[in-house]
Amino acid sequence: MTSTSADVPALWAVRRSSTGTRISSAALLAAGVALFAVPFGFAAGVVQQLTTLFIFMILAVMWNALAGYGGQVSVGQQAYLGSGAYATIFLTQHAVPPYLAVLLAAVASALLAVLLAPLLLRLRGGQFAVGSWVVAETLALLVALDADLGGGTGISLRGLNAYAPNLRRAYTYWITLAILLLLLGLVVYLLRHRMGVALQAIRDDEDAAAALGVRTGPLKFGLFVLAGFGCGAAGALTLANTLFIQPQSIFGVQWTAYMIFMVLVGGIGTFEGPILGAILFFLLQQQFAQYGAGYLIGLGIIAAGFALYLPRGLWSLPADRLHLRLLPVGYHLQRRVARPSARRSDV
Amino acid sequence: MNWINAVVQGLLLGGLYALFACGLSLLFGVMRIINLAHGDIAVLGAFLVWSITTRANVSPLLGLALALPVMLALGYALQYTVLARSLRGGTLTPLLVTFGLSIVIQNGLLQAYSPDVRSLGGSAGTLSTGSWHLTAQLSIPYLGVLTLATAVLMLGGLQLCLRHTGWGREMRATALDSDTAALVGVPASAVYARATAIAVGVATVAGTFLAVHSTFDPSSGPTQLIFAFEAVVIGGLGSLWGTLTGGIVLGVAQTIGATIDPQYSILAGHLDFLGILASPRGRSLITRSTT
Amino acid sequence: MSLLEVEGLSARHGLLNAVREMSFSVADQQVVAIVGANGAGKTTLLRTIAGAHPAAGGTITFDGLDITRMPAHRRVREGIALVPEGRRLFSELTVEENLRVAGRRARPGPWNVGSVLDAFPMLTPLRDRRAANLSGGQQQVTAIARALMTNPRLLIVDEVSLGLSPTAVDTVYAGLGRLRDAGATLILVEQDLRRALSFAGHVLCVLEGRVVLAVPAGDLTREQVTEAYFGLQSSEPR
Repeated sequence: MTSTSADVPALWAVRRSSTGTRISSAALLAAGVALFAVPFGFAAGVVQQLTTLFIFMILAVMWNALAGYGGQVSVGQQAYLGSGAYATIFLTQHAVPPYLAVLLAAVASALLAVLLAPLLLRLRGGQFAVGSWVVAETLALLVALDADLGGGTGISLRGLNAYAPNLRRAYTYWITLAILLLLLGLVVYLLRHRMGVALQAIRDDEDAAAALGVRTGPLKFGLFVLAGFGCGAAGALTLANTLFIQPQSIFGVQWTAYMIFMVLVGGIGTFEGPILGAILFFLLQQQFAQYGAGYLIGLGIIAAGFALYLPRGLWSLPADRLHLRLLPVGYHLQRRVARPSARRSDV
Repeated sequence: MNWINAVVQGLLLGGLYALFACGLSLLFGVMRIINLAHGDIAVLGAFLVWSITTRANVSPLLGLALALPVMLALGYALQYTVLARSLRGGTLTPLLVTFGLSIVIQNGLLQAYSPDVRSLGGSAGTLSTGSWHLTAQLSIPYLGVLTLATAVLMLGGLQLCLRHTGWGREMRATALDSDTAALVGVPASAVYARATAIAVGVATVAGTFLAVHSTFDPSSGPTQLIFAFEAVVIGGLGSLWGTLTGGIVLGVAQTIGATIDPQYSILAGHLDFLGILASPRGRSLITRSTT
Repeated sequence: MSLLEVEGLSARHGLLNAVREMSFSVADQQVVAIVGANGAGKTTLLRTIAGAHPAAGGTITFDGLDITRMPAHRRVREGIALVPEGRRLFSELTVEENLRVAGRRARPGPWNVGSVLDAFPMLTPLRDRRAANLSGGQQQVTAIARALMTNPRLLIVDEVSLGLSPTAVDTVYAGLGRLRDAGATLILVEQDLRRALSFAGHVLCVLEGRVVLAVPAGDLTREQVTEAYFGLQSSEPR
């Protein structure tokens, strides 16, 4: 921090990737591909659990894309979870094969986001947060009024019983993993693109970014629609994983609580943080969910505590000390002259 | 006649929403934050009043009078312990922190009081049940009138204080430019603490009126936050009289919706809010508030 | 004995060292003009003295009290008032409300709404006008009057005449002159060298965050100041 600008050109070079990130990127990709083999070697319970974990990851990555990169804290992403799940129900009722319906429902949720964007993107900060929540509540009320969609009592996904249970779990698992990898790939692409820098400028100071000529509107729109797609997919997959939904639970604000927890604990605005946060949340959920209210109090305190005292999350601890990065999504300075004791300094 | 009744009841219900909206509007105006725990704080206040009322066997209004000092102190503490730190963390941090607080309060109440639905209507006697029967169709409940009158007094009184008292001027000056306020000797944190205490106090009043008016349980907070927010946006952010109008518009929309079909009540309020947001007026409301 | 003692003071904007180990002192009833090019660190220096900007190193002592870490509003109570660059009036408040906000927690002293309006009679007809609707000169006078309402022992005015018409500048200096003659301690930042040299008793030249010249105004020629101003004396400041 204290180094003057004068010595930078001589000793430092701006780099995107290093040997470390190249190795870790390749390892991550290999791990992602290897995960497709899980249904061949593990029990159905494990497959279903991992599906749940991947859905959490999708949600965390999407919420982080909105808040961590776009600076938009949404308390209403459950609108897209619900629309994804109920669009799946609607499509299967109209003779669309269930897994195709899951994919189409995610697209439908993205379209819903396109429609809502002009309305909600007018709002900023807390107004956007509560405004998006109102949309989710409105959709929940509308769905509860529709008897064909099961009304307030909920509805089962039919059509999947055509598959043997193990096969069904495997298919759901593969689709979930594929969508997760697709979304992660999209986020990496976004961050490596010029847009990524612009996005982080918006997050840091939207007005300043706009004053510097960053066109914030299209970028925020893109993220909003991406998050609509991802959360819609997560809702449809939750339905495919559990086979039954109720409007008050799939449209419930607890989803936002989970997303905020995962992203804040893992590290908001980082690529790796939400994934780490999702894994931690998944483990906590396994261990403590039975404690109900006490567990939720703990989640609330931890999330608020991270926001106040460790705003960049757990990932920042190894990342800052070891300059650890799994993917080449940032810029950093590297000394041109290798010195044994030299530490790289992040910009 | 049915419609006139709906409008009158909506007007009175609007008083309740304006009370809920008052504190949210004040904190947004002074500190530029939306307190996502606002509804839960109101419900916490309602539970405190409920405890006092049932333990001491007094009227809810006396219970409210006893609970208010506690809640005001809680408001001060909230600013100095949590909000002050979150304000230093940038624009997103207060949202995330108050959302966490909302979850903690809801589940804390759930632990302490169980999920049972409660009401203070029973202990309020004729106040909650009595009404003036004007015609066979139209009656005006005492409670509705008292709620609306309280809302007018609170919002009007707050408006007058902001305009004409020393601490009101400090609050307006800090809202406009807290750094410069510090340069003339006004500590922003003290002003914010006062604003938070007032917001929590008015929320407690709102929560008590809700509890007398209908029922409440530990998870009632978010709905009240949403209604309060809708009232604030409909009425135009940053204006306390606008907040009163917004509350009334929301109340009337809900009672008219309910007259068509009880299921449409809350939905009609949401659609009214979204409609106003979509209108050209909505755009101007928002841009004015973000400058 | 000096009222204000600045020792090795540093202040930063991110990586930029705006103020680098500055040292100087201001005696009671002294009038000091700070001159220097844009970006020399004058505004940051004044804001750091007033507590609106954190010090990165060094100490600020006011009347024997170390105030380096004291928050801005408490320094006001000790007797430091800053008229910030750009005036920064509370735009939605009237002139009188601007004055009253500053007077509410003021130290005891001669200044109140009545005496301030007596000192700046041009404000009397404007007292109910919103600050946003004032001319530049009226705003500057209001800002000085607002600072006086805190009954300061040290009044700091940043960019006294920036953006003002020549007649407005005269009005502002007439007011400041009355304060000076009444024995006030003043620090001014002034771009107009002629003004600065004729008004102040002492001049402090600031270049690239450092004090390069600190002398009584009478001992100083325009050429000396110009040299210091543009760094002609030493191309490589210490």
